[in-house]
Amino acid sequence: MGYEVNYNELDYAQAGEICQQVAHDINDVVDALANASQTADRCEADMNLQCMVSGIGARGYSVGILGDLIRKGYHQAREGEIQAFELTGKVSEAMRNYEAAEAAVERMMLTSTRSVLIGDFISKTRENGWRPPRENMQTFLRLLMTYMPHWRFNTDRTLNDQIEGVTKFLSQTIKGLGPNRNTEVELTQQDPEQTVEVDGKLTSYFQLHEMLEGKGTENNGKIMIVQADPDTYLALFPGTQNDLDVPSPFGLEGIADGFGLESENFVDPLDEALEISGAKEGDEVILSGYSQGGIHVAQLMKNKFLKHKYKMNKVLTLGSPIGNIDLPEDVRSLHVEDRKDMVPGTDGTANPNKNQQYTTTFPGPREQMNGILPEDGLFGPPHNLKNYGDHLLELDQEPKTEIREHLKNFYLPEPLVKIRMFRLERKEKKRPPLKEEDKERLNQVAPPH
Amino acid sequence: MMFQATLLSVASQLDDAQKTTKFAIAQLGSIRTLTWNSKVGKAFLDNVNELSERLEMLTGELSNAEEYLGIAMREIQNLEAQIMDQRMAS
Repeated sequence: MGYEVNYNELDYAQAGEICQQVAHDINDVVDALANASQTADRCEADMNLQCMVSGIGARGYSVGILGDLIRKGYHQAREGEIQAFELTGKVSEAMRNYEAAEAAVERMMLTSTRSVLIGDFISKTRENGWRPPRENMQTFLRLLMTYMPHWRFNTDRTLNDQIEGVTKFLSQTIKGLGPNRNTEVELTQQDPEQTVEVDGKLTSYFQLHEMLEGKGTENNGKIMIVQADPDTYLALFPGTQNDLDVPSPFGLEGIADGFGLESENFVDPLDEALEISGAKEGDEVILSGYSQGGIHVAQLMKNKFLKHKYKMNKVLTLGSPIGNIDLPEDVRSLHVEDRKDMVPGTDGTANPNKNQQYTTTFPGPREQMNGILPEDGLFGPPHNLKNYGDHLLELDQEPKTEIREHLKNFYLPEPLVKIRMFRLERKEKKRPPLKEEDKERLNQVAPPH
Repeated sequence: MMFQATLLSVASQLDDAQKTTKFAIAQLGSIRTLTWNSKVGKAFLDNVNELSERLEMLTGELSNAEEYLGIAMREIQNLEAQIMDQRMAS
């Protein structure tokens, strides 16, 4: 950030965890010593009583002194316990202070350089066919966040938290006020099963995605389930579709489903489609999504029901803005994006690059794609599925050394796979039928005077 | 014999407490290996060291108590023997 800090997030988190653990350990010691001193006291009292009953003049004092020694240890441990809890609190406070300071500095830097940033945004957007490149899109949104009113969008939080909050708020507002507020997503139709030959590498994902959504509006609203081997399935979700002529839950409202409802309304249809395709509990399910579909698959990766039922820990996204979706740590992911594509930057946050979650960014469409990628569309050639297909081909041909092994985890095991497409539609929510007792009760309700 | 058994349970509790304390000291030691360059970070490390010293003192006190437990055991043995003798005589 251009200023010197001596803060290491991981070290602080580790120190906090250690202090907390130590505090709990010492708490156990305190309990053990309290018990031990009480036992010693009781032993001394009982012993003295026995001596008195037996007429023995001599009394034992050592057990009493032992009790005092243990109590001394108890007090020492008690103070240690308080100190350890205080230290835990201090570390947590330091972490919160650091995050708030970091957010304040970022806001300050963004606002102080806003004229440069806006100028850069305009010139880079012009160079990119009047579509903002991913990075400029992200910076612009972050700049916009600094002007959000404090009363509604708590500006003490980090910009990432704030962006997530704003996105959720807007999505929930759209869902709550939109014409589809009383609808749910249902599986309404299944296509016959087909067998498809694939090479098993990453381009297979493009091949399958193109079968799903490369035919205009014909496959609107459909998802694809692929049986890669008897115990491995792949679920593909499409990008945003024009739902004006042919209805589709993947229209613009689908984006609000992704950010506002965390795609919870797609859980049941996906589970149903998997079951129809033969998936059993414990089978592996890999998720793959393009554009809006990437938001859904990333959100579904967090779904407890699906994760409990299936082995779900691999996800692939193509040109999707999923930087604000916190994928579980056990998830191995690959996020492919293009520097000239604005869509992955529309959440104002960089896609993840941590542990086994990789984002690989390409500088732009390759020259060989000139004339192949259509120039129309809101987001232009860099966001076209074919461009992402070409990037997957690049990854197959010349995988980056650091992710070579990682990519192999996404390879499909068999050359012949069975696919089936399922149509999803928004339908009126079904109301549960009235029970007889409820009907009776309603009959007794007097009409208003 | 009953009193000796009671003291043995005290001994086991003291042993557990000492082991847990030593483990906590070792855990605090691993905080030292992390990076603490800033003034505040160093102050935090000083506090951790202080806690570690306190726990060292605690283990010292627990050792004293364990040593004293031996004396208490012998005394209890002696008194228990006297009580038995008294009972036999009466």
